[in-house]
Amino acid sequence: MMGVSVDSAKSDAVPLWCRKVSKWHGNFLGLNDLSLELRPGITALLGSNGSGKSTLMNLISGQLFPDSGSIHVFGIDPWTWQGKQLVGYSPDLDYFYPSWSIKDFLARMACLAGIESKRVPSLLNEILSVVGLLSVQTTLLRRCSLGMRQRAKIAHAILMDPPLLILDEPFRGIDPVGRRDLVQLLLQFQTLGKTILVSSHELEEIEKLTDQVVMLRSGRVVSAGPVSRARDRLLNKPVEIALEIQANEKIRLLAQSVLSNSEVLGVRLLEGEKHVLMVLTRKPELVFSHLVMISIENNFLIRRLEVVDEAPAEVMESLFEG
Amino acid sequence: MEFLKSFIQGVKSQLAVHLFRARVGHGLFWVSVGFLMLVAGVVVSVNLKNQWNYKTLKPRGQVGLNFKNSIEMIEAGSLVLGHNAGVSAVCSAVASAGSGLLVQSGFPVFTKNVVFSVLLGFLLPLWCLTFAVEGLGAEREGKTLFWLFSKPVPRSSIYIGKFLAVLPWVLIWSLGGFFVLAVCAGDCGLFAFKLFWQPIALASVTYASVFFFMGACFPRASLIALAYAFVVETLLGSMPGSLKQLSVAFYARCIMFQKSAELGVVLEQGGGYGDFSETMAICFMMGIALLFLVAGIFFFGKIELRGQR
Amino acid sequence: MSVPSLNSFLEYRPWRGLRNPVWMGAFAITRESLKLIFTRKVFWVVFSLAVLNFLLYFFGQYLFFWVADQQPDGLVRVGGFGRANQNDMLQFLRSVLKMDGSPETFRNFINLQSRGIIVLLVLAGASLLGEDLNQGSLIFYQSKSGGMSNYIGGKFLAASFLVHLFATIPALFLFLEICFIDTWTYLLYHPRLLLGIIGYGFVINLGLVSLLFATVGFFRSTIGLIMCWAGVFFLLPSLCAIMIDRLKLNPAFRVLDFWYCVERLGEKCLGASPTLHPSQTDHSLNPWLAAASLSFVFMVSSILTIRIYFKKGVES
Repeated sequence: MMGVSVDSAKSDAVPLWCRKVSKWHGNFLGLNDLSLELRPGITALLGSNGSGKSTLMNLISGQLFPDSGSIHVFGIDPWTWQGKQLVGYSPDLDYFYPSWSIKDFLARMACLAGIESKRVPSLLNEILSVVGLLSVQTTLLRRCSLGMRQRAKIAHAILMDPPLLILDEPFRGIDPVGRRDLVQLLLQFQTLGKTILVSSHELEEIEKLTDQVVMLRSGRVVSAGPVSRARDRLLNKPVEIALEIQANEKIRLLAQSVLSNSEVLGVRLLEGEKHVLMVLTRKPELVFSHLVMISIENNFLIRRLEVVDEAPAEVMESLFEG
Repeated sequence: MEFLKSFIQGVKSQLAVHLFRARVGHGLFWVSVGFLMLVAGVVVSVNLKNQWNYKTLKPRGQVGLNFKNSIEMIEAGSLVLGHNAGVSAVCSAVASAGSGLLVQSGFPVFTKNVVFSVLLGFLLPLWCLTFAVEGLGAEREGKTLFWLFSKPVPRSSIYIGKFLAVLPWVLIWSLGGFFVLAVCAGDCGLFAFKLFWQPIALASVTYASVFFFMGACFPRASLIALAYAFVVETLLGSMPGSLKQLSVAFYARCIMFQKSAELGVVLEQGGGYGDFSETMAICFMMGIALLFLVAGIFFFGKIELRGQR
Repeated sequence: MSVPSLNSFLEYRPWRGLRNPVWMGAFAITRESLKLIFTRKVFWVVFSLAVLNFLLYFFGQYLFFWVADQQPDGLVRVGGFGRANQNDMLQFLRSVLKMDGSPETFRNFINLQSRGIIVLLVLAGASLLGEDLNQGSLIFYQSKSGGMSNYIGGKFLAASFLVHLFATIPALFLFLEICFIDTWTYLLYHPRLLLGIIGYGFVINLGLVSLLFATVGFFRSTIGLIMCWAGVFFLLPSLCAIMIDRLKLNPAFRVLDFWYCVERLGEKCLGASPTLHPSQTDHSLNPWLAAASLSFVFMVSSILTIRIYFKKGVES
């Protein structure tokens, strides 16, 4: 399906072919000698903020020009006007013509893209119903919610029916129902034989979409392959639970009882806070049920129970380091 | 061939989308309207006082007497010298010819004071700037260039198409403004309009090209364009010496100078406006316009949309 | 024994300090706005030009009195160029440069300095006032007990401070300098001059700051501000010059020229005689008309300002 191949020759049939691409943003190296090849189907692009996801997508869609290396979309340079025909791009920017309605916006974009004016109304109807904006098509863009604008961008990306779709953070700001619909839509496109590159921080949606993941870190591809590997790593990462009890003299007893559970990897006391116990485990849900039992047995008064969650970016970071 | 087809298609679609959608409600637009109304008000008030002529002006080197006084003196002289029929006849002939000239002298006075200085040196650059910088500058500032760049048409067609979409607004506004001023000034104004609308239109196109280039290629283009308009067009353009040849207004003035010289009116002595023939001035202006158009296409084609977020 | 828990630190304690009156908040806004202006490069460029001009006048005065103190009808050494006649030099300083401590000295000085203020306010005025409107940060001021009146007051004070920093304060320094170089009888003979300097300062203050408030509120951007002020300070004077100097219309048309009116009023405050070109007769405007023009601008600006800032919910 997909993979990083350096030696593969460029061919007209390959949807996306990047070779030794570097891009500087002033003094900051956005992409570092990146090589990548995509095959038809959905591929997810993961990476923490600033890892070069948007830069890569901008390069593939021909909005940026690589400082070195070359990119080919079906054998054509996406920077040229012929290349633009082949790429549908939904960028992670939120700037529109505020005084236009959604329908006007799409109609004018269709006109600019060179679609015959006779075809435009039927095409718009089709696309608007696909992205679920048909009922609100006359709303002005400045009055649209973030989700509506997000859908308008996706509608814009599929306007030309391009074989390669680049979607930068398409799930941002869309409600759960909308996300489900979008996932369905992208899966449909996949069955039509399109190549889709999606970047997102929503691992749940990505999991539903595809098992092919490219991970970027500091402008380099760190891993490429099935998502299950990444997910396992994520699930295997132990979580810490903070327990605060009423009487701090019972804290040792609590620690002992908790440690009797085989799923608990370790406990520690917080410096200065004598009544808080930190519990390290891989399976918090098992520990919780055990905790209920031991508190009833030993009459612990638990005042606070909290899973100390790490920020998603940090989780992601540890994922890439691992 | 394919490029040409796509180019024409791009220009056509830009025109279709942007031609009748110039922003007219923004601050700069209202300042332009305000300037037009202000100058028109002044022209009307001068017209009401019937001052668009040489009546109250003094001949060069004369102290105390203005043109009207001199002619009245000559007329008085013809009465005093009534006993000599020949001298009296000459005197009254000179006097009536002179007063006829005074009535007709509105054209040079209006041209010198309004068209030559205020319109060309100040209003025209600002009016053209208002629309031309907005063309791609508004897309740049509003960060909406992406929507244009993601289309399968050559960049040059986007630039040319947008320019052509802006051009009618610039022309309507500058020629319309000139016409309003001309109507306010009465017959002499309309005569000046008929004579000078071509150089004004040419100057507007040149300004439009220059300012459109700035809007497309510089961040904070309005400030740069304003600085250019004030420093080069207004200040340098009115300086003595050959430094003013850097300004676009100079070449427009050259054409106007030649056109009125054909009618026997010398608009400004020693301004160096006679050095360039009409054709040469036209060529210079068109050259400037073309140069900036080509430079704009070149630089616009290289713009990368970085830091859009 | 009860264990002190985290909650006891979060319990509500009433404020026991002394509160400043609400209007004092205006000074905080003034202070912050001035800090903002002082970080701008354009301020320091204009300020250094203004300081240069001040030094020119400062040493000009000094030179004048020094030359006057030399032996009568003697020759004064001018650098390495030779010697100049003392009377010629006095005449030059007095009538051409007007650096003799007369009302005209102060008029010329303040007129020049106020050009600097105009440039400064045009380029930095948008960041002084317009940013709050543009970025929607006005809501923070509206939510304070002082409300918009404190905001307007504070910003007005800040802009006024800039005006006086450039015009009134250096002019007063010049006055003081002459008192020191000459004799203190100068102060006795020219009490009006002292009041006139302060008066002129306030005329400029009122005119420019109210105009700034209205134009920034309307245009909200530096571009609009520059265009509009170019109209007021460039187009209007040149139109008036065409109408009055070239076409010999009624000099009362000068009421249109706002800046001329301000300068005319200042001239009247100082008691200076108007400057005329060699061929000009005195066409100067009646000071009452000038005052009427200034108060018209002030009133229109105030109405605009109130409409912009006090209407319900300023949109960003």
